Amino acid sequence: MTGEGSGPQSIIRTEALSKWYGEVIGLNNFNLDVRPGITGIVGPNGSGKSTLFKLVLGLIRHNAGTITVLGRKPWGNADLHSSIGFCPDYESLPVDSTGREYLALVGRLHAMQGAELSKRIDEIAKLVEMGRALDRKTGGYSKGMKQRMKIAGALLHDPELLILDEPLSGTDPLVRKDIIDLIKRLNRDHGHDVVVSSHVLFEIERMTHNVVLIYKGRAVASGDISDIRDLMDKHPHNIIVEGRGIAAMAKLLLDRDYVVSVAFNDSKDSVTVQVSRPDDFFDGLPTLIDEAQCSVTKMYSLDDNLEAIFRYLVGR
Amino acid sequence: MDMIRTMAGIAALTLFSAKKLLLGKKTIISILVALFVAAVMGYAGAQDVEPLEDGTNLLDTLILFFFMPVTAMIFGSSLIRDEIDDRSITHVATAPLDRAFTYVGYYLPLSIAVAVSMVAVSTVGFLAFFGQHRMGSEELEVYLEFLGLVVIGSFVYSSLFLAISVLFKKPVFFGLFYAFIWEGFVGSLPGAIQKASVKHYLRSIGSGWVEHGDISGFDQASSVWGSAVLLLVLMVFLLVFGAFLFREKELV
Amino acid sequence: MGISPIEYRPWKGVRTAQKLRLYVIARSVVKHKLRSAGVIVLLVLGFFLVHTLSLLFIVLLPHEELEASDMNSYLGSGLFATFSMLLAAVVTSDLISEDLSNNSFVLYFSRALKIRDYLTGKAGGALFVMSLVCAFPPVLVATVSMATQTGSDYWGGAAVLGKTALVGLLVTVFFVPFGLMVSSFTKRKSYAAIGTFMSFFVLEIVAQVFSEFDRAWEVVSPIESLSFLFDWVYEGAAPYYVGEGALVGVVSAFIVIPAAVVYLRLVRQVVGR
Repeated sequence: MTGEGSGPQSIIRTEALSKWYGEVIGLNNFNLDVRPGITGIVGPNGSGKSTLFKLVLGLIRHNAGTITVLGRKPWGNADLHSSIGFCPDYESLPVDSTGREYLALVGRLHAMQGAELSKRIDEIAKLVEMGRALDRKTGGYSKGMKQRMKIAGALLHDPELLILDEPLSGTDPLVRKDIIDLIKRLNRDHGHDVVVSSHVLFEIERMTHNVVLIYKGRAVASGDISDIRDLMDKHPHNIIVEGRGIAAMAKLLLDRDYVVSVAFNDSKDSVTVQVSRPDDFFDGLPTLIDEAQCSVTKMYSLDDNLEAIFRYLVGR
Repeated sequence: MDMIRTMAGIAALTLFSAKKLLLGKKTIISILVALFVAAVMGYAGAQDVEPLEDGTNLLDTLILFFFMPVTAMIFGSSLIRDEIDDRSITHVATAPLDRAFTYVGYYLPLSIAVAVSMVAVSTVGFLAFFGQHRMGSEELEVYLEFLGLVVIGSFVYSSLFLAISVLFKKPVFFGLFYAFIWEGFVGSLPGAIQKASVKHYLRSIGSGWVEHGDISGFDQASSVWGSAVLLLVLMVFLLVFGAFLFREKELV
Repeated sequence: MGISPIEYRPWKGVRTAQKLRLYVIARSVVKHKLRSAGVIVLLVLGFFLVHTLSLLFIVLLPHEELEASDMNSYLGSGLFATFSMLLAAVVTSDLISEDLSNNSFVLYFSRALKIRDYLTGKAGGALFVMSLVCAFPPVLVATVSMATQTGSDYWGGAAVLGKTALVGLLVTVFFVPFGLMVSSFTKRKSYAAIGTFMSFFVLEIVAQVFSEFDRAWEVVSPIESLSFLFDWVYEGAAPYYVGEGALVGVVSAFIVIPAAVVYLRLVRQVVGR
């Protein structure tokens, strides 16, 4: 999980990083090496993503281990903030200020002034498509508008590194697409390194193939997303099949080489099929139904979700 | 440390927070206080009074020893604490500005806002009372001396309540305790114990400056210069202490 | 996929009557307050500082019967009213402000619940908590006094006991509407507490300043007006410089006007303004 040696320098590097809040562990012996580009941090709610970002930004102090960001320690290092833009997952806009006033404050805090600052504000507002709402109070913004404004605040001072904590949360599909396209453009066209978090794997997949999976405060896997999926495919999948005459189909399934096991659930109308090659199972299903003269009323996979991936990876 | 960036950051925060305090929802408090003081002092001014004596006593009772510490408490307890609670402090905490300087960027607008509010309230009260009587050089002198005490008190109380807001999660209750129980009760006790209150030193300075009212006859006054120095030292100590606490605090 | 479908089943249980909802709200207020360390500390402190000393005096000092003047000096000292004021500020501060800040109105008023029922429930809970220091202890002190008297005239004592119950009820009710009103104006309970406390303190200052010119202004002070009320109840008359009509007017104003304001405020809030 930690890249060594040659290649571009690490943007974020942690070694045995731990953070606890009283008896609650936020991060536990966390090792991470983020290289330039877009990196997705994926984990269920409460896995430690936000804790990691707060440590990266020096908002909280770690209890053990080490962390460096762009080669420097983040805690008590305000200068580092000139190179980082942060979009938090929580509401953080001052409600009584307009969007323009908020961006002006952020800009001035980064020592941007005068006409140049005004021009930059208009530029960034146009980039995130908030130009028309800039002079309205942020308290009246919709969720999507607030997300855009937070991203604008993160981009205003043209930082080297962008930290985006669940930027797609609570947004509608159109806004989500816009934000994903923006993130990709920021890296591809403008050279920003981006670290973006989400608890939805397929959202991250649309932005990058480079992911870190985090679960209960630990980094459980990192690397290319397809490698992680391959790990999953080697692990048997559990599929529930329900309907009439399923017992006959169960008998036929036992002869298939991709079937690891078949077990009846509460009744003879429901079975759990463990398969080593889910694609072969689904491809052969119509023929099976025909042969067994049964009817399938319900079918679903127990493993086709992030929780299953994490359970598998953690239990490995 | 980039000094230009630091000064620019402090200036930005000062301007933003000053605007929030003086032109935001909290302005209503100042307006209500001004109206109240005008009503009370106007009514009192219409009665059969000794203007200089009674006017000075009213200014002291209403503003110097009540509304000023209370306003500083309300403004100071909420300035940083509200931003921590609603997490809008994120944009300040992630700015390239050392937290100690960020703290100064909160202190300056706070003390200015309290001083400006109280000067405005004092002026309204003074005019409401003395406007019904003679307004000569003596009255003007009382007014200016009083404003001096208000400005000193604003800066000292602001440093105190801002530090309290960083130290405690519910600073309003500690502020209430200090303003009413400690200053109100302990500050009025006879003997040396009253020296453990800001009120005592403000009264001591007032006893040396002002020639009218009960404050001029404050018989347990410390020396004027000693009181001024002590208040200055206290203010600086609270600033440094508050800045240190803020720097070490885990935010959001 | 991968999630068990949630099976909805209709509920065939009994639906409670309208009035029980008041009880539910009041009960939740009481439970919440009695779990709060700050409120418990204040209740214990109040009982100890305000009532325990009087209780001890009564038990230890021989007395022929329960006298109205004794109860008046014990309750009318100012400490009882001041403490009740402080307790009301703390108890009422979050009752409406918390619902404002977390939008619980949507939860309450999407049910068959009227604003007056909501307010009655909230006030009911607050009144019960207040009564633990304001109503029950004075009655307890009076009862102990009667139980330990050396004389045989219990009728006089019973009358004083009745007056004490009335006084306790009045004090319980006196501060709550104002506290609720201030709580309805802000989303932060600490601001509500400080606003309630400060408002009463400002009235004290007005009374203090104005009474130097005319003693009748003392009635503006909530503490003094309660003290005058105790005089009227126990001794039969308020002080000569205070008109009884003015006293009734001021006391009613402290109760009725804030109640009306909070009701109108909630009407505005609930219709989405």
